[in-house]
Amino acid sequence: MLDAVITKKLRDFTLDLSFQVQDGKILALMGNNGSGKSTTLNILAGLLSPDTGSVRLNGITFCEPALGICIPVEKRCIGYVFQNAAVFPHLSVSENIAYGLRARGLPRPEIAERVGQLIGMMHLADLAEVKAASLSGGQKQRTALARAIAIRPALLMMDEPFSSLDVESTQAVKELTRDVVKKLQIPCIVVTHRVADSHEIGDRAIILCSGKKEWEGIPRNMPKDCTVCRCH
Amino acid sequence: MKPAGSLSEKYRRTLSYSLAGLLILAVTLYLALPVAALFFRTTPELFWSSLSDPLVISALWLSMTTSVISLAVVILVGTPFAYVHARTSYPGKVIVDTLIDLPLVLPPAVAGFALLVLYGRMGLIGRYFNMMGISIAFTTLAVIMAQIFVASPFYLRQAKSLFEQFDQSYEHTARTLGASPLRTFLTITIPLTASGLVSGAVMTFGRALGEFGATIMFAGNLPGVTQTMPLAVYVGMESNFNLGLTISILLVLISFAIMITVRLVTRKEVLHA
Amino acid sequence: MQKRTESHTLITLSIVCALLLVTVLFAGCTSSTTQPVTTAATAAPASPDTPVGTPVASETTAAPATPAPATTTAAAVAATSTPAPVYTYSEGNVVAYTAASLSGVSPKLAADFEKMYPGHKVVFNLAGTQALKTQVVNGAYADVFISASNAYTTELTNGGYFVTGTVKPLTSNYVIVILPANNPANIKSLSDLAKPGVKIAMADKSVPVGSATTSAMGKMAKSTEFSKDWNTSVYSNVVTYETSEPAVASKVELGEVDAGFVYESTAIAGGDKYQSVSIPKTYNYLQTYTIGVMKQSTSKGAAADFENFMLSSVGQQDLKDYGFRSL
Repeated sequence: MLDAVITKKLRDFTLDLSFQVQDGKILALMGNNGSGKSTTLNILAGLLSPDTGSVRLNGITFCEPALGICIPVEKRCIGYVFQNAAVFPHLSVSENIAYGLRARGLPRPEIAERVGQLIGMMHLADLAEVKAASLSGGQKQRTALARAIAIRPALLMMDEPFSSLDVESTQAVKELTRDVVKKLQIPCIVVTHRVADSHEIGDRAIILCSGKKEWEGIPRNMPKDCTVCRCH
Repeated sequence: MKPAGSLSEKYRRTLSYSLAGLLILAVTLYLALPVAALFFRTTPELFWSSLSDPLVISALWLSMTTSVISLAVVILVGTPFAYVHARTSYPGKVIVDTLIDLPLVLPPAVAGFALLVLYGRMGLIGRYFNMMGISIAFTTLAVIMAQIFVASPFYLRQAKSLFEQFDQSYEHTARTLGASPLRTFLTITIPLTASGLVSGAVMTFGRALGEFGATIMFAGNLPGVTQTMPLAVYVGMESNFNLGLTISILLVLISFAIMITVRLVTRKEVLHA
Repeated sequence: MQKRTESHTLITLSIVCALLLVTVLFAGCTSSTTQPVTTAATAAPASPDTPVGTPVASETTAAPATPAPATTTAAAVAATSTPAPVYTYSEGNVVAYTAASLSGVSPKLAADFEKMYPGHKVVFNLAGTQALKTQVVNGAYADVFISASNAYTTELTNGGYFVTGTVKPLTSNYVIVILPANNPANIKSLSDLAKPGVKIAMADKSVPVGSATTSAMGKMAKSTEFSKDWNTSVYSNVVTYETSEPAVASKVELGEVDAGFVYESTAIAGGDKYQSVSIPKTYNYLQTYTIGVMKQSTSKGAAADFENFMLSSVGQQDLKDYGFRSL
């Protein structure tokens, strides 16, 4: 379970929110551009530090400035899929997926096994040796998801994963994400600005507005006028 | 719209193409003719026979070794420096940024003079080295130092701008996957900026190889020790024209060889999407 | 509207092309661009009192008003620095290609020339004679040529570059060894030059003073007072072969070398800047300078006037004041 209490002074406003995400559940984090969604993810990942608060995952404190605890990024074991998938263009699909495993020094046979599994799961079998630069948007997202899952993370985060995908790929990625989260029983946060996405994929949703929680609840119950955030 | 425009369209298009062709030809000739003229001024026999002249050999050896060492130093020190400079904001960053460009606008002879005044045995720093019995001016080390001074901006600017423009989400992703900053730098950042870095390195090497003003001012002109190819050309022009010409041609050939090799090698690189 | 921008583009394109074509043709026709044009670092870069601050409009190639020494250009392939200044001839100006060792006296000469021939001006191109010769041979324009070496004078005469009958001996100079003012290596005599660890600067043998030095050294090697061993030791102490005489002097003045072989004129004119050790006449080499009017000159009258001035008592006195030896 993820338990996050974060405050951070940003350029235009102060980010101030607290939330929890249960294992096997997906939180849809929504809000306008610049409302602090990506910053939140970066703080959870350890790329940024909060001013005050704490980030706890499965009872382990990842970061608590007051106590001087801050686990470095590479030790947190969080799966983070960036907005543009950020697949390493100079590596093949399997090399991409294997990257985190190699970085952690796993033995070769085990790496090969896990990579094979994930390639199967993400339907990337004929693309295994293709250089990631030549993949389509949907293929990149699936590769990025496989890569993030490969390290068996304790938390999965995705930043606008569907924004550059067509309808078909969007469906595919959404299904895969739900499967993975269910199977691994880890908490998952998906940042999206589209209400429809939050309905389809989120078990819960939070709407951020200028760094503050504007609304929280089950996507079904989202107020109708929340298609465009009242603030700007 | 009347179709009468089609004739003037064709005319216009031919005109544009021929003007473009003329433009390309003019630029190419302007760059290529002086170089070609070097080759026409000598004969193959003269060229080959003067290649075995000890002066030519020592200048060639000295130039190549010093330029390679200078390049190595610039890359090894400059790459991490450019990375840190691009990724962090530290007090005085603007000044350092300007200083990186300084050797580009400073006349080489001024650079050499400045190095002499600093590192010469009467120099601000040099005098302490001198007391320890270490001479810097008039040595091969001085040649390397002069080359590094004038040529490093080419690499530093290129590396700095490459790292600044490099999409950090790649690096962040690698970090979240468990790669340390060093591992990320070596496995992700460098491979994806490699072709840009190589072109910066090529320019640096070329500049180091051709360095003259700072060298002659700071390192002097002593065959076998500090007489690099450009110095040998300059001196040779007056005393032994043919040698000077041979060395000039060698410089041209080496430069071409390097450029072509690099282009071939970096063509195999995958360009990121 | 679109048609107008299109024709604009075409016009711009054609103007650019035309300019480039003209440049290419110019580059091809003018031979001076296919050879390296050199300006030696003559302005004694070390000395803050470079001879530029004179009120007269005499220009010396090497000296912009800053302490920055002149830049030198390498071969066409490896150009490293700013291009050499171009001397355009203008009415009343004499372009004098002059051996670099006259750098110090050149402002005085310019001032006195103008006094003697009001309305005339002289523009000095100061560089090692070897560099000047190369420039002239490759088409550079000069009205007058002052050479520090008989060998180069002969070469130019044989090439037909001078107006017959105008080549005259101008002045002379012996070689001398100068030391920095504080004499760091404690050199008291010529034999001290062979001490291990002494740093010596000489001019390259293509430079007139360099070949004079070689002659003098050769004579000393054959003598009983010095010897071949002394000769070898001295040469192994040489750390640099400079490309002009003033460059040797500046290395000495900076204190970066312990001794340098230059002309007596530099030692005398330098005053307290240097200490010196003279080379006995028996071993020394007397460098003879010559002056001549160039056949290509388009103002032979003014050029001849300048030659007359240089050979006159005024010119000769100027030279003597700066340490040159009258013939």
